[in-house]
Amino acid sequence: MTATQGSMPTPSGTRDVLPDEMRELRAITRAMVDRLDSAGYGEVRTPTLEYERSLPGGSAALGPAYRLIDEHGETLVLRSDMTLPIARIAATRYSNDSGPLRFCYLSRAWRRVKPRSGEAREVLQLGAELIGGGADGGASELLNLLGEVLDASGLKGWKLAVGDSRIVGELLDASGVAGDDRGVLVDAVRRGDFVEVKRRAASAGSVGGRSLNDLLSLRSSVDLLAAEVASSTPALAQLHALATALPAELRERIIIDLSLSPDLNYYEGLVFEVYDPAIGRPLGGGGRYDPLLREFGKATEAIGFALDADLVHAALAGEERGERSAT
Amino acid sequence: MTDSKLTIAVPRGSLFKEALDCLDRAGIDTTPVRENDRRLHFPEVGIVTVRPTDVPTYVDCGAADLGITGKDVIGEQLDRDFIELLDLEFGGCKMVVATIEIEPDPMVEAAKRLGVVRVATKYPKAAAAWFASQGTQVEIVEVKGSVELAPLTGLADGIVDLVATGATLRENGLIARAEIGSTTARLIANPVAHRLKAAAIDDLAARISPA
Repeated sequence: MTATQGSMPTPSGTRDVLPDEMRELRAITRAMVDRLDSAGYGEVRTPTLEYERSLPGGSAALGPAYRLIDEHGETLVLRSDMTLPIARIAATRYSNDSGPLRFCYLSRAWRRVKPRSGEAREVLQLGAELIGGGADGGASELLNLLGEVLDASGLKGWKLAVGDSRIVGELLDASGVAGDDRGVLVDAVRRGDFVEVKRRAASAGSVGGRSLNDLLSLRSSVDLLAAEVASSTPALAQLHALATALPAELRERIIIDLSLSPDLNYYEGLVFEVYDPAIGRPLGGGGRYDPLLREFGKATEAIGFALDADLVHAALAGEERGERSAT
Repeated sequence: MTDSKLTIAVPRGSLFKEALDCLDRAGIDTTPVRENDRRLHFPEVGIVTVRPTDVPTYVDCGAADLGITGKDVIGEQLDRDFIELLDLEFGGCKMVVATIEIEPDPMVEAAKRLGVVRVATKYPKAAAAWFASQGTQVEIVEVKGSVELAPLTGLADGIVDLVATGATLRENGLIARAEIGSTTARLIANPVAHRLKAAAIDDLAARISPA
């Protein structure tokens, strides 16, 4: 039988990687995984398929997109990221180890895709997880590590946007937004609809001398963030203190974004996204996910990042193109 | 997307002139764009001119940092990733449901006797959402242009379309039966550019802002 999807031989959002591309991709990912391994983040491999019943219920919203039924009638799912399997490993294989636990991975994960978007259904993710990271939850260790890994990839222009999932709620509390407006504002911020944000925030009180609208759309370098803004909510103050204490060469790459909101619902606290000027979408991101580990029955801090290896590769190619056209 | 030079996607269509006027006010020199209506790419002033419905595509993919497009276009492309920055308050239109001007209303007749209304539109999401909110079963016929022709030729019982003055409806013997929304031009931004070029984008948005 011939392929039914016109001339497309593989499902949309998946593709074959041929030797020329694979050689480049392998060189980049090897450099990054080596960096992780030498920092004490041991590489792990987990099953491609997991029992649906062993995934925690609260994380269903990030849901696996693909399900299979095995010969015993068990529902198996294709993993949608590596954070869930590593949380499972930490809770089951290291249940008596109080940590800190450090893992890294280079693994494929499967996502649902929006129609005609050109998004990848199968992504090659490279990432690290730090569980039981202590006082700051491992945040500064992990951000420094992420910086080293991005440098190891060869990328030059990368930047890091950092936020905290609690900031928007705290700003709304401080400016006295309640009732219907609150839900609408939270949703508008999440969707990036600043026309709606401006409309709804118009009547809200100011915080630290700034209007709510200005605060919700604020993106600033660490050093330029005004002191009265930095101290306006507890989560923002904590984020600012964390960012200020980072080494200068990392701090200069950081953008504090008050409304940065993660797509994944298991993040609570610090969240971040990685960008490169050569490419129009995030290369990856991460954050604190203590609640997910709690669902697995382990009460400790957890933080991690994941990068899309194909996008890192594309960004590198983009940077090279930019350098060639600049000379 | 290097340094803080911005690239703006401007729609060649009904919003074109006002979008350029708007950029003039913000201090961007649009003379080369006005002088040449065949050229598409104006890197010297940071402008690309594209089809109106392609603006979200260019912005989502980062080929342009910013774009000017109608709320009507945004509503049909919510699966694209971009930030809606500013209501530019020009290009105001109403979105209406219209049919041939006869009584009884051909859509009401179709719903009553056939159980489903056939509606031709360039805005399938907006149309489907409105009919769903009315509890009416609808079959959407997506067309790319000259929507007014659909009820006249029997392609559909009615249409969902944008009207500025209503002149085109009247010329074709159609009448608006309900107003289901409105649109104005919006400034949208690529989410990565929004953060990496925050100062340049905020500065332009302040200069371009109608209020």
